[in-house]
Amino acid sequence: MRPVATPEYVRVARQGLTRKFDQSVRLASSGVPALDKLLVDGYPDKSAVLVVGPPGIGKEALGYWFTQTGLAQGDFCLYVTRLSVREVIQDVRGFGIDMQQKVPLWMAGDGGQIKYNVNDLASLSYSIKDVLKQNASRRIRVVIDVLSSLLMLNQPETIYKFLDQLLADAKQYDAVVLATLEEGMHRPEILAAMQQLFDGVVELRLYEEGLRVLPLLRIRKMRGVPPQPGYYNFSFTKGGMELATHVK
Amino acid sequence: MSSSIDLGFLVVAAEFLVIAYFAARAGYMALTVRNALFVKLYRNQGLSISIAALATCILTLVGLVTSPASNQTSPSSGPGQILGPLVLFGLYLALFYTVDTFARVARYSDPLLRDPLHWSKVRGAVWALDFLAIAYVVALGIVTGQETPAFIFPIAIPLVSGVLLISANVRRTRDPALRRHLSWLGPFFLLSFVAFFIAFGSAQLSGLAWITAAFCLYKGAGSLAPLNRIESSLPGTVE
Repeated sequence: MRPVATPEYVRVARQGLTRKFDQSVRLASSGVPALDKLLVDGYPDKSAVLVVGPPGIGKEALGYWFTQTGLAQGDFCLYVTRLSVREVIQDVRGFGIDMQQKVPLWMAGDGGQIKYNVNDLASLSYSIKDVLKQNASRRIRVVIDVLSSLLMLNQPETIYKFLDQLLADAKQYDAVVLATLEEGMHRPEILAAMQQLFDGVVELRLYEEGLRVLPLLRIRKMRGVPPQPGYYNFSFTKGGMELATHVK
Repeated sequence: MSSSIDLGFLVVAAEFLVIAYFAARAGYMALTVRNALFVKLYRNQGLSISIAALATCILTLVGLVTSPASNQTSPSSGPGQILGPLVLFGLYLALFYTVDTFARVARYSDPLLRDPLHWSKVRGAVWALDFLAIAYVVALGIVTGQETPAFIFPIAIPLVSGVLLISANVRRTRDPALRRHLSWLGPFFLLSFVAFFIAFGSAQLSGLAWITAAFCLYKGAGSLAPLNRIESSLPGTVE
């Protein structure tokens, strides 16, 4: 395994077009130093990033670090989940993340400040917009961990429209949105359509290589960063997420 | 006469080896998928299938060694006497653990977080029942030195709960990946039940049921999570 570094072609390309030299563009740290390096300093501001992967691979951990870093920087953070807050906190602890000192605003199935109701899209949209409006003076980070369940319970077209509007509203309030989507739960065309709605797509997937099964990360696309076709080995440690260039 | 015994043994040995092969492959596959995942619940799911598959493999090999046709040892003596029941109960505890973790995974995959057959409320009682049944059978075996018909309970509890939970969930789930996994795991539980309780008297039928069950376990282990192939033609992939 090779330690991760900003690929040479990314470094060359960004001299022409990238955000590094554009001081007007602010970046939101992902909370994972190795991933920030890969993304040339973090997620773009006013962006929506989709994390795709199978259940159990640790997609949510990217949301936890993103939230934790935002809270540490004084950003306003909203976490939307269908689980109870207790279940999420338990999962957060499993990744060695401490979210005791500062907590996000929870929109959760149980135990949150705002009740999440999976059957009421209009109310969900209204509640998120209202929260964004109330915190318009601050930098905002939103983590949405409910897309797969919404797609299972509604027509895909309804969710595309809902999400399109939601992401547009979030950008209006300078928010960075990170959403997770389960791989294998939706038809490929739905997955492709969902990826179109986002500015960035990070894949955490399982790959078969000979007799081995490897968890690999791939930046499918990211606004302001040239396409990165490489794969990266990743693992979670108590200190965070470690990335290394995948050598076949 | 001798050649007919040899032929009979060869058929049985071939059956046992096929079962052991599928079980070993299933165990390896489940373990590699488990090692690639990071969330405890899903890792446990892989681990439980891997233990169940490994126990099936060991049990099959022990069965082969202690088979009367092998002429090596009788079933009532040698290492099989001690190892057999231990691995057997280990297998059914692992199977029960598989059922338990699957039920919790199924809850998370449901958009409304519904519990299959109210499992979270009854699981404690069913676990206790399974342990009690094992303790009773083991204690009776130690005291009387004889097998008791009650030995079917520790085996029947995981198999019946597996069949019930999987059939309830396979119809309800909207997750194609989970449905695919269950459509292999369900027949495995059903065929194990058939092999143990229905086809017990018929060696051919039982053997066929075990081979099919082991194949289903292997396919079930392979469908634990969606697996992809690396697009090697892409630039940036270090070869």
